[in-house]
Amino acid sequence: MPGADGTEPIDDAEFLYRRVPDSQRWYDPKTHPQLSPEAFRPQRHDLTGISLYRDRYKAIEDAAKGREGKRYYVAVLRAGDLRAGGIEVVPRPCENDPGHVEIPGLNYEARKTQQVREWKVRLAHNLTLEVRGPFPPSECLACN
Amino acid sequence: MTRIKTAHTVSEPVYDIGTHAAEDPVLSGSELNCRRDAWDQIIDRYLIEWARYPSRLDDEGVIPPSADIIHRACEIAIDMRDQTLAAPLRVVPNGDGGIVFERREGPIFQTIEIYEDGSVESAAFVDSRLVSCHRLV
Repeated sequence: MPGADGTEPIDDAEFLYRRVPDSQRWYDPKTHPQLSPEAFRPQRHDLTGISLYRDRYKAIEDAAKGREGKRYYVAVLRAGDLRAGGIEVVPRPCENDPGHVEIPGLNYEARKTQQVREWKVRLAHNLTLEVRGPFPPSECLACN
Repeated sequence: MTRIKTAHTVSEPVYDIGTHAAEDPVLSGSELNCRRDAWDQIIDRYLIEWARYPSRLDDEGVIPPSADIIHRACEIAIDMRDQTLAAPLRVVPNGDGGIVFERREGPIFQTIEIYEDGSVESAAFVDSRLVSCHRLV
């Protein structure tokens, strides 16, 4: 987006992407259509909140790129739905990733609190609009 | 095999969805076998496979469960199978060295989680609200 650096407030109408690794079975449409709340669990590196991406800065295929050789799904959510559910989401642009955002309340230190337990379930069961993928593994560019 | 017992109540249980087949006169022999088969699938297709091929769970930003935690999850699954409890919808790693069984019965969504330190906890949700949380032994 010309002139935008990712610091502008997230509009309620914006779609947000959450990458979901196929390897963890947090989404397995063959066995169960619903996303597991573990897809929104803060992990050890989520010190300031879990990461999502703004669709106005990143195509869904790019949001699905994680570790080389691994496959990912992408959960689609809408910023306004999160806010209506009491879940704050804030812009946290990085040097090469202006569309990076975080949910500050879903941080690793708070992982066992009632709020985080409930938010994980709410995000997975009520606020995820759809899960797309699986997207093919990203390739090793040096190998081509 | 140690039966699963509640050691400490964090909040009063509102619902008990650990329906025991022995207390339910409606279940037939074949239904009981279906429950056992469903648990066996969970154990064979996932827990034992993870123990055999731990690298399959390796991914960005996640910590796979250790062999000890997988073993603990197997013990719990076998115990619940032998109590003929309803099988979970799925079993998944929690990404932090633990394992979670997820179950649903009507409006209640329940998790039984084995943490990376071996502790076990059950939590129940109704409409995304936490209604009970117990530490288990």
